[in-house]
Amino acid sequence: MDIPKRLLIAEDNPALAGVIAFNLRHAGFEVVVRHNGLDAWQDAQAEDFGLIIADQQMPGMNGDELCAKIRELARTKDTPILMVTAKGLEMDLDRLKDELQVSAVLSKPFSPTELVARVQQLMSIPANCK
Amino acid sequence: MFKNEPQVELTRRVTGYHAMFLLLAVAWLLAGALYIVGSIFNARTESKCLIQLGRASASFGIEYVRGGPDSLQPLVQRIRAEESLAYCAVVDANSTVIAHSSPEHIGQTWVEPTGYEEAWQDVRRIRFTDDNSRRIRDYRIRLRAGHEDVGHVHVAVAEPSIGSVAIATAGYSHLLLLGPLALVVGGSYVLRGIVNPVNEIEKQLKNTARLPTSVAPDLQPVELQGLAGLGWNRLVAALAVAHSTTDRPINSDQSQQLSCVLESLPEGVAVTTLDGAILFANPAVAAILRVEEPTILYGRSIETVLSEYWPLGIDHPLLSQESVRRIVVSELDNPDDQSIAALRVARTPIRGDESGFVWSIRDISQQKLAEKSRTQFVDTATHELRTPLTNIKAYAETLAIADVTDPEQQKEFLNTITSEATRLARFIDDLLSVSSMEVGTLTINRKETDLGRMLSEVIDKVRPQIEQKQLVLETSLPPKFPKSSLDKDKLAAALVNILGNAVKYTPAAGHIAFRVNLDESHLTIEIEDTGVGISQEELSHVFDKFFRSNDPRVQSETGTGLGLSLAREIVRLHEGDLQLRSEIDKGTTVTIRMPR
Repeated sequence: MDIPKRLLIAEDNPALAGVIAFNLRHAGFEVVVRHNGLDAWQDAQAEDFGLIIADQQMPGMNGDELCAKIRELARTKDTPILMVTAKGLEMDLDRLKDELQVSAVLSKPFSPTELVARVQQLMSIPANCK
Repeated sequence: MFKNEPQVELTRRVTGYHAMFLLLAVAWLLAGALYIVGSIFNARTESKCLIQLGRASASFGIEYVRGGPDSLQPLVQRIRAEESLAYCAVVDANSTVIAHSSPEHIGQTWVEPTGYEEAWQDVRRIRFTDDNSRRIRDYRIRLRAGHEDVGHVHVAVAEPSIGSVAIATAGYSHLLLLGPLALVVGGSYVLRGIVNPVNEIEKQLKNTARLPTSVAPDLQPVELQGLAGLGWNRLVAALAVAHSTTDRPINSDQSQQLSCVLESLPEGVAVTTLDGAILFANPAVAAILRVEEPTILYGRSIETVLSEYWPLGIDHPLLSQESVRRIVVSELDNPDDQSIAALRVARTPIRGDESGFVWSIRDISQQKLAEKSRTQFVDTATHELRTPLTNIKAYAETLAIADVTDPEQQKEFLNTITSEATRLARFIDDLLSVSSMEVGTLTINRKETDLGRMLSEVIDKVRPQIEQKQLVLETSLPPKFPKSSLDKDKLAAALVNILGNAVKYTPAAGHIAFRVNLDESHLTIEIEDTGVGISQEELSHVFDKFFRSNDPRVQSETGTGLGLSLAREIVRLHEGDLQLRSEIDKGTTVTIRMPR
């Protein structure tokens, strides 16, 4: 499907959310920004997003939980999820990849250009049209 | 003989019996001897004499009639010789000797010997000692010839000498000797019967006494003779039983002590068989496993008991039968139920005989909680450090690479970088302070401070924000300030933080009061605002590290969540206290009180 899908960004830090949104918009995507895991979940239930970017640590509902819920929902179970995290070596990467089926993980501090490149890469994988 | 009578003491019995037998033997001997001697002597002598006397009298009477007095002499001689008499004599009615075994006395006047005289019937006996010191018995009887008394007949015997007695008794000697001998021998057997078992017991006791104290006594039963022997054998049997049931003698004092120690341990200790059946558990185990008494657990499988609250899979290392010799340590918890304690369980084989396991069970809930809060601290800290850093990097890169043509936007981005950098710096400061607070190394350096100046500096610091938000600041300060000894930097920082909070969280056109009061002993600072306030649920958490209210009005402002806890600690180090009162949507009041 060629219609540029919207992206959901769940990031509690406004400055970071801002710069991510700026870069993605600059790359041609439409983005929806939520600063709270719960709000993001509401949106995810309501709308089909092409990709969801989530911060692992957020108020309301953290990134892990959000991921799990998204994976449980039939409609969003295959949506690519990019996790942004402040955890470095201490993170359980295997669990994120296997259990939550996170598509990619980016550790802070990351480069916005890299993020955009990853998003583009993940989006170019043809998603199952439902 | 030994059954029911009260027993006299052994020594007395032995000597008693011994003496008795001896005396009996002696008495027997004496009695025998005396009897023999006496009776023989008497019997033979007496009757013999009397018979002689009778015969003599009779035959003399006949002869007298036949031949007259002179015919008696040959008879007298003959009788004397036959019967071994001392003498024999016939005396006529005029006391003239008409016949005598010693003929020279014929015609003489008979003189009655003087001695001990006894008479019975028609016999008179006189016992006297003659000139040769022989003891003589003279028997006299009337001589009748026809119907006439014509005189007396005397028959005398000498009492036998010791020699003759001895010869006479020789025939009875066997009886005399055998009797006492038999008594002595028989008596000694009886004595032996009494003494032997006691002797044997005494021997064993002496041997035991000679053994070194580390060696157990080796006692044997004795031949069953008497009550003492019976008692001894019972004792030996009882000792044998006691030895067979305990491998090592237990010092009862020590085992009592050990028992007390186990009862008092806060750590759970249990003993099971190799199959896991509980043999022993101390009260701490009962408490952890939520049973009233340790004895309830005895006999039950430890796997079953644990699995009630801490489900153990079949493969659980604590239940492994393969690594029986190794120590297995495991942490158990129930993540689904917070009320169930976290346990550290260790299983060790019992040293020595490896007949079972010793289990150590410790409640580590507190430890786990501490670990959890530390993990949370680290998580939050890393997040708070990395986020501003990410922003700085992201914005800088965006500015460099992307086409940010709009100068306003450029400015905005650069400002963001700056503010994020500041935020990061402040957070690092706070973090370091909190770290030293945690470790206990946060200290204050009291120096003489101009309190008035410090307070006005604090106010000056927040004045720009106050003016920007058009807040009303009401100050109430005492006219004069004494010199105080305080840590100016830290206290000022704490006040700036609190005042800063008041400014941050009070919407525009709000009101802030800054009141300082001094009495003789204390300094009181009160900061009251008409800001967003804190909800009742969050009130108890405001001093938690990194805590930031979920209220969006608070979230929209920057904050580390460390300020209040730091401020409180600083005040505490000044020997004061910090109190906070608040009502949601109404405002917050922070009161600091410390000795001046």
